[in-house]
Amino acid sequence: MLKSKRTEILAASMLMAPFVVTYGVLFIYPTIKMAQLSLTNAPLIGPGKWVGFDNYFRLASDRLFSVAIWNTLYFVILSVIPSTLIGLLVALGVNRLKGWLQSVVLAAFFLPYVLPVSVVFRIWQWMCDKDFGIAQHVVQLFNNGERLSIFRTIPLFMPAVAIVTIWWLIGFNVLLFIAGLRNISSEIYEAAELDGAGRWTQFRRITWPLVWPVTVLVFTIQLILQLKIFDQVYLFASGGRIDTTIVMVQYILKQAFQMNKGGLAAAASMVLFVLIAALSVPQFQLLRARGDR
Amino acid sequence: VSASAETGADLFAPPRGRRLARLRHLDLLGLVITAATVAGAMLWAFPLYWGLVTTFKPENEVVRPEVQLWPEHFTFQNYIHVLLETKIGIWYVNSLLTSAAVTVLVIVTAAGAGYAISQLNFQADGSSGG
Repeated sequence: MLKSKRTEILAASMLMAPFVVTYGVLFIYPTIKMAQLSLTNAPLIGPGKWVGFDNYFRLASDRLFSVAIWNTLYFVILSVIPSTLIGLLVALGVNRLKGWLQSVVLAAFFLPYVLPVSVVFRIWQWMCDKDFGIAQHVVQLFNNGERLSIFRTIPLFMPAVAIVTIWWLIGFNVLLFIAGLRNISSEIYEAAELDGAGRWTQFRRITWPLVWPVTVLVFTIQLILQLKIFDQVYLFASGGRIDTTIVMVQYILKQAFQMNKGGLAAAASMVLFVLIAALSVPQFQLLRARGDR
Repeated sequence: VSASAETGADLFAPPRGRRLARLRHLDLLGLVITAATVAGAMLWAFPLYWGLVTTFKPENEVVRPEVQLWPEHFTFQNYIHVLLETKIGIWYVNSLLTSAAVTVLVIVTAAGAGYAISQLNFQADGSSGG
């Protein structure tokens, strides 16, 4: 008995060791080090003097940092809710189709997801180019026939990047929603149909409540992902007025690698970390609890 | 065995009653939804198509502002350039090595830890019992 317990523990620790060691060395240790670093005035490389919470006070009074926070939150609002709703709509549409048509339509929505961000950037920058981009035909309809540099017009920047992001990443949401929809037994729908429930009632009373857990999951994944927005904004803004469209990760990059302020960048990272945790954990619990009613 | 086979057959049987009912009165709203879905898929795939078809266009056609759905002069020149005149082989090997290393390491660490955790007996109240 005791011997088997001991071999069990030995086997378990051997199986867990690679993960625990990797996780500790590559995540826990650097995170603790970063928290320490955020309380010093260290440059990017080398040690610094202890300055207490100075870095955090400096962040609070830095206008660029508040611009970065607002831009990040603005982008989250523009991308998270639409990509969840459009994902559900597309999944509902695709789920009705059958056979090869379903495969082709699903592939059309999923294919952008496999592209690397640089290709996504190239395609859209090419299509939106002021001189030869074909998106200008659409732009001219709304802009009195004038061409417009979409990613150099500040009010259009974040919405445009959000649209590109939704186009790029929707496929994953659609897959999650389709998995959720297929989990709903067709017998429930048959029973509802026999009782005379129309399409809208079936959606309101069966599909929406039963797919709610998936909606919460998609929403949370999107929220965490989009709070960390960096690649698209960095690529589309390069060469433009970067400081007006700056987002939080970009601010961290700028402080650390351009201004050589390791301590300040670490403090900004801590703020982003707390912001993500503070938004996503209660959001997940709250929405999930609502679904349990 | 026979009971499980029966439920299995039930699960995959097409809902015949529903399909017949649907065929009887023409489902106009359903048609509209299907058409909208297919139109959405075409809209979604268009940037991909545009990217693909541009790779077969010579330089001067690429920068035309007109919507030109098929190249006037179809060319493989861009592919020949990339394959023969760049170091794409080295880039490819670099990507391959990185992704192979990541894949192997993630599977080894996650499979081991995942199996160990799956052997724990989780209680309904969230604590893990022996």
